[in-house]
Amino acid sequence: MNNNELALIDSKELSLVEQNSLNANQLALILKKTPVQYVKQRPAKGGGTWDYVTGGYVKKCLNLMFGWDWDFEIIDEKIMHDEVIVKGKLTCRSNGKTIVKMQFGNKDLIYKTETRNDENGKPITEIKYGKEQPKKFKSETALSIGNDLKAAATDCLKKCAAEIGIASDIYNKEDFREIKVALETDVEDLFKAFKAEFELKKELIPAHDFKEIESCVELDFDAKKLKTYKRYFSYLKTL
Amino acid sequence: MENILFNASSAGALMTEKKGSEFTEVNKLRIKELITERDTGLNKNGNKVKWEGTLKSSELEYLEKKRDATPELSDTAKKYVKRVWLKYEKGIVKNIKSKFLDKGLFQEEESISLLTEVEKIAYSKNEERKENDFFTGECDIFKDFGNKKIVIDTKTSWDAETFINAKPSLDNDTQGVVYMELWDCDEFHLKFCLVDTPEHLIQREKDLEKWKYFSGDMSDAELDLFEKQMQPIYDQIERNLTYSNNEKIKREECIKTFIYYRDKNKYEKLVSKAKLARDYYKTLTLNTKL
Repeated sequence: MNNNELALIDSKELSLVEQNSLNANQLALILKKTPVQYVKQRPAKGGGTWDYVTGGYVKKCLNLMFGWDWDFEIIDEKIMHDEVIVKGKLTCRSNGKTIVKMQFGNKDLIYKTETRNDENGKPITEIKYGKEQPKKFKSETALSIGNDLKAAATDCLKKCAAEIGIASDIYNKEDFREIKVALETDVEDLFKAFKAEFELKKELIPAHDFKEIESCVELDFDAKKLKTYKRYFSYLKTL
Repeated sequence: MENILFNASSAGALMTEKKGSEFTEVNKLRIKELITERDTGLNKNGNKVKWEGTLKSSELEYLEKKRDATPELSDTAKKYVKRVWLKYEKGIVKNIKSKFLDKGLFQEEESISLLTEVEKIAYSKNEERKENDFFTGECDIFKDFGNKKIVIDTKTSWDAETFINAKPSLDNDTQGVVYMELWDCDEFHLKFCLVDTPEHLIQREKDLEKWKYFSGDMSDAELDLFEKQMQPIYDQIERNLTYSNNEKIKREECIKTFIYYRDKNKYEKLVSKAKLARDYYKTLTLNTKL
């Protein structure tokens, strides 16, 4: 099982407060692992890669969870140090309650490019794709501040939605793993089923296999032995 | 270090022969033929043949010299001993990580489960390391059937192509010789297994493919189009490395077995090579000129 794969949790564990703003279906959607087709990657600043989900996926989740009953508002915006920064507020209504989350979003400004001439008035060139062409320099005019603001707003919406828990396996990987603790109960259930199957079938086990299986049953439960329990349980089932 | 132990999984290099120095079965037969010709004047078909004035006496002399020559380590064996020396004496180990090793490591239990499922025998991972005077090793599976004992080594193939082409190497052969000795077994089964690749390794393959064509200059629209174009490639990578959900692949087809039987002569030959290797080991220094 993958490290950040979704753990199965009991319906009783779904909510620890009596009157939750979210019902079981809404919680299930939040706790579900983000489908791989919606997870994208981009190179991260400073090297490596960075996982992200599209704005479309986040909006789809919000629509499904809150029945289109949500708003997103930009509270503030700033352009500084070649970056667009927006502050946004996500408001979702559910079961007569309102959930509000605020966060920041950002986007690097993209500037138009321009060609330049050298001291002799000739265009400065570079070899690109095997041929000489005019070298492009970053100008001081932004390409489209509107587009950059839109991108920053989408980023902000994703951050707010992540505060609710949408795509938390992508944006809060470490926290998402915490849910996995519940998985141990599954392995324990499997171990119990394996033990029961052993008691039922022990007369049918060939001598050369008996000792191995018996010693596994007799040893204390060990959550790391999931594959061994699975293997022996399937084997016993075939007898 | 006093009397180093050679690892079963890599001792195959010791069994390689110096180019042209190997005394083969063909050589053995030829000596017999030549001695008969010299002593009786008859060849293997019973026809009269000449001895004097031919090159047969020098051929016999050459073959006898080859037979009686003191065993030597091949260049490959020497390189192996140097590698062992660097590991034990200087702590230097090469090739410690690769995607192939990773898959083998992550999916070892999966391969054992495949064997249990297909062969309907409850196998479990051996966790005991054994050693004798010359060798050390940890076999994957030891199974005592009462009337015979076997050791199994599972090799998890990287993909279907490596699996279909998988065949035993001298390393595997020697590994079997050592395991049968260490576990006092009659048979060694080498089993190549084709099991699913872990998700993180599949993702890595997809990423490698992606970064071949990705450009940081792409706009969001271009990036979306790029992802759409890449999707069939990702799907194919997934298909190439996942087999449990492929209806065209039967589980029985995913195991390839080679069986070896215990051969005392082979083990004795290996021990004689190990002794030579130990002598050579003692002569090594980092700036060795040998």
